[in-house]
Amino acid sequence: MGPDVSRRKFIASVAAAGAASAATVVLGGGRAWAADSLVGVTWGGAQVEASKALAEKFSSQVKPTTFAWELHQGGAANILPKIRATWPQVKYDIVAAWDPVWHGMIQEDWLEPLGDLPNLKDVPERFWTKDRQGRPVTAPLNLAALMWGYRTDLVKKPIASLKDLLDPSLKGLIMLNAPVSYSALQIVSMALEFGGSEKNLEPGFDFLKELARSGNVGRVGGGDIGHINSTTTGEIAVGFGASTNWQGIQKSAAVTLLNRVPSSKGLRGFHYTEGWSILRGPKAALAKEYANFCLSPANDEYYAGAIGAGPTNSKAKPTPELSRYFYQPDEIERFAYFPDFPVINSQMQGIVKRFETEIVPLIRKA
Amino acid sequence: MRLTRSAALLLAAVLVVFLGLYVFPLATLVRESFKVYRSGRIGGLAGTFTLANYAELLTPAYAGYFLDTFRIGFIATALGLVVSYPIAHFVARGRGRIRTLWIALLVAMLFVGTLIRAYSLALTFGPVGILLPVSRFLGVSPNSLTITELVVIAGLLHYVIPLMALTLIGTIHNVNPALELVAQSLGAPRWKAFFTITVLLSGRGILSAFLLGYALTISSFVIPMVLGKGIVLFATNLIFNRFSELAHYPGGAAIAVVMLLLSFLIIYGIVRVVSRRLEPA
Repeated sequence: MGPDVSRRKFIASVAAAGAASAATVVLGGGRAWAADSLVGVTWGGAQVEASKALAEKFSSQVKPTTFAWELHQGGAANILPKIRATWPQVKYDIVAAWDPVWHGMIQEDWLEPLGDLPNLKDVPERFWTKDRQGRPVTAPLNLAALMWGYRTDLVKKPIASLKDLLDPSLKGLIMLNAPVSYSALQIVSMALEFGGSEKNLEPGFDFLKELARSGNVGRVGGGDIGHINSTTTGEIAVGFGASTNWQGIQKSAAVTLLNRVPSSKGLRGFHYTEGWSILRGPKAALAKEYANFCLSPANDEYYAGAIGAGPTNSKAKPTPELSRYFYQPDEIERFAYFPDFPVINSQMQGIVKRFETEIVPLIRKA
Repeated sequence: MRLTRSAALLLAAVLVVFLGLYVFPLATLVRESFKVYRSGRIGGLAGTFTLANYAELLTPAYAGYFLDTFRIGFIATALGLVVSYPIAHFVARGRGRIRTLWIALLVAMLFVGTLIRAYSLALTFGPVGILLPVSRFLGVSPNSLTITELVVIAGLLHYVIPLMALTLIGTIHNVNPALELVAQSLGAPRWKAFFTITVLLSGRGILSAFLLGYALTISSFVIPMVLGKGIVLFATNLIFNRFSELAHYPGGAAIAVVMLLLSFLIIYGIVRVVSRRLEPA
């Protein structure tokens, strides 16, 4: 004869177990609760591998720490809704991001000030991102650049200005980025070319409409992977992407980069930084130690080299093979552009709406 | 029939789950759609109210996106029905091992993730697949709107055919095959007996399969995202862009609410029209 269990007792015990589980989830919080552990979010591929390698070094040389890694799903901006949904009970301690995403985090006041990181003083102040109080809140690990480029074998006439994109020989061969990709910098480049700026994108939109009507746009969006795949396979020939993308494409096809075009105001290298941001919380002190560790000259040189970008620490040496993507000091004034991300961010909603209502319909009709 | 205490308790538990996981999130979504959004912030501003998120959608461009969603979804569902009915008929009338094998095959297709299927189509119809030489032969750009829409429809078909076929198998199985034989013995040609007996009697099942397929196609997100090349956009893609990339929750919520209302109206209309025709005279 088995145990005496009535339906009432069964339902009551299930309800009690459910309540206990719910209490654990609500009260237990989301943060890593082990003594020395961190939860980090970064991009996949070379970024996470390099971060893991530095994490192992940190754990053996500085402080034994267990790291758990999560990958960004799509763009880094996708992490913002996840953080907001559970703030301040967030499970992440350290988040890899870049300029426009950091500005979103600063608006929400999520970031720990990092002015006391010893290695930050070796990073030029121009690469710091500061909060509303003027305090640095990021540990920038690498410099990257976005630029126009094309498959040399698929483009018959060399491109020397953005106006050349209207040439009929480029029918269906140009990739446009969705505005949220790369913080609408492709549109900014078009605005600059025709006398505009981040504050006045109208010349950029005028040209974009002309380009959409021309029938030369073959694809919209796709992110980094879409850019690399589409260009490598020859689906598109001309695009605007990160230096790391062009390095990947170059392994399979000859590429001409348009980041050193003296006659063009829009064909430049649009620079941005990537690195660590520390979310305010109980693990901030440990996360700051790790971020500082990554910022040392040797570690920054290793990280930037591993992902194919330029280091930010002035004592770190850039990889010589990357010289075509980054500038010598005398080239910076002529060819580099440092976008005003807060200005772009404040207009992003309008930019997306204009792209959806004014540009995509023209591409579809062309 | 009186509700016993334990039945009431169980029903209450189900109701709590339904309210908590369905009604409450929907209500939150509707509330979010009326909040003010500031560019650069995450989500709507608490305590605000505006109709601007809905007013933004009153443009021909957004009407076009909704129209595309319902149009392409309808085409894919109709084609899916045409393909899945013969499959279901073959399986329903089959016997023993053949029948079991086909049902297992249809179910197995459901286990293959949508993303995998979408990317397999992207490879097949992409620049390294068969599409490039075929489109060059036909003199059509593989990046043209027509080709892109066709590839999206192919992706949706891949998605709905197994489900629609499985839905129809039971319905067709319940139609006595002897009725067709009787009609033929009274002089009706085979095709006429098939359409006027079997197809007509499985009408409600066809309607169910169509509604299931249509709901899946218009709510599809991965397939237009992977295969649409940013040119063919469904309402779901607009919603994703706003929630995930722009953190513009109010805008995404407004599109979701409009989509929900339009879907309800369209599906209600279809059910009413078809049900009237299926009612006995």
